[in-house]
Amino acid sequence: MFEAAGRVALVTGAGQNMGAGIAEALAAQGAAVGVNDIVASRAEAVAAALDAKGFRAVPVPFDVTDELAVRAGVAALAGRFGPVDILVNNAGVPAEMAMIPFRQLEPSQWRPYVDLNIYGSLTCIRAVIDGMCERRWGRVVQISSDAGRAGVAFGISMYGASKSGIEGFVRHLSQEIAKDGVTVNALSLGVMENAVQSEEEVLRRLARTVPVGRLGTPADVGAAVAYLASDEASFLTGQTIHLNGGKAQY
Amino acid sequence: MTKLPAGPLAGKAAIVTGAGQGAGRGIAEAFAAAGARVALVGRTRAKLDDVAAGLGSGVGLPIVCDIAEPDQIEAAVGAAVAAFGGIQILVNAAHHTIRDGTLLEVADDDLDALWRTGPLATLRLMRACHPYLAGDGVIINFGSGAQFRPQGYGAYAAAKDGIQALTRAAAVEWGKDGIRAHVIVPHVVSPSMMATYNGQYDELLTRIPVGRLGAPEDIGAAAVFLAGPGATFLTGQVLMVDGGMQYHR
Repeated sequence: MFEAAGRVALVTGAGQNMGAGIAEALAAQGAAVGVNDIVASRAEAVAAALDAKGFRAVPVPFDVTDELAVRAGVAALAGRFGPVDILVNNAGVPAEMAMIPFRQLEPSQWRPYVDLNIYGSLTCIRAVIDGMCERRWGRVVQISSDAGRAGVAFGISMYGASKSGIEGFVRHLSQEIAKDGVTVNALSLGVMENAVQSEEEVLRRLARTVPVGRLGTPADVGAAVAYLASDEASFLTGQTIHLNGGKAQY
Repeated sequence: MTKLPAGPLAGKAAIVTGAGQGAGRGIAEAFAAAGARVALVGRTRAKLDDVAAGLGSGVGLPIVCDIAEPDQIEAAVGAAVAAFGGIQILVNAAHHTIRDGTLLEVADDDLDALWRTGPLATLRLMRACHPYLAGDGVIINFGSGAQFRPQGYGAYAAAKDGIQALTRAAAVEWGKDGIRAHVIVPHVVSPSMMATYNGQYDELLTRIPVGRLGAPEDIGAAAVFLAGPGATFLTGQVLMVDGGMQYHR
């Protein structure tokens, strides 16, 4: 079940962490995967590792906020494997990201979040969506964050606002193209293993706040994306699924 | 990571109520295809036998049970445990079949039955199965689009809201016990309903964004994903499998 053989996937921000897990899960289901990252060496390393496991993967490094680069990357992937059937907008943490309360943010510091999570996601979607609709099959999975729903006091207001914005867009786009065989869903992540670079004891304490008793992993995200990207999930669209171990319910 | 096995539920045992038809039957068939053995719980023996016959030898176990009766719930869970040696998945798909009626019209007997076969039976089955689900278990309960468009279905929607509240409480309270719990909100038209199709779904069809009616297979695949080995970080979800008609707020 949930086979992706014959499909071409593009996963942004796939050079590390959750994106790498998504790329591997889709490749394991049979998809040919374009491994995107803003850092070329990271994309190349993940693609090479997938290739070494016998999967089909190619690095397609570009900056998702650069429309010309996105177009060129999508064209390069199409030349290698074919047009994109599955787009996973996973890139979402700007290089500048820091935990700073809103009152201390300069307006110039608002932009990277909106540029990446809204404009970057829109740019990638726009580069592939016409082809998906014309071929009458497509999957868009937008990685989001529970910070898009919850309010927290540790200085990630613009990150949260950008995730809320793209989740709203997901619902609208899902309705506009539902009849074209293209589904659009968001996968909202809770506390994941990479979210906190910290000591064992801190991680253990954090895990105890999650009902299932652990933090999320790249494999968790990959499995959920593999389902959403499958033929069998064709009746599920416009949804936001909260992959958070039950920590918060919306 | 290896490829998901062809049978992601291999070695698992499931209880599915309302397994004689519709979404319950779709889930039972999907579970069997995914490698699980399935206790088929329902009131009508012939329907259960028919489903069991399609699942292959030794896969489906028909158990006649009226979930409105607590004693029968206990007996059904006992029979499933006796046959399978345990239970890893519980699906509460059965619910009283008379569901429409405005608040002023709905009959008191139906109101009572909606609660007895809805939230009450669901919680009774969840509690009866808890010792067996503990460790690595999944509960899948059912909501309804009526929760989002309750006009003319208020009593049914209220019972479904009750099931949703119980499910979310279980996700939080039983997470530490290794039990996950979800609600699927389906839109599904079963083959038996389609057999009598004479245009009654035409208006509905115009309201389903993906442009087709839901099938038992859609719900079955969603349930296999939720119950499968890749979804162990997912709990307390309300998953809308309805062709994009609603989104969970």
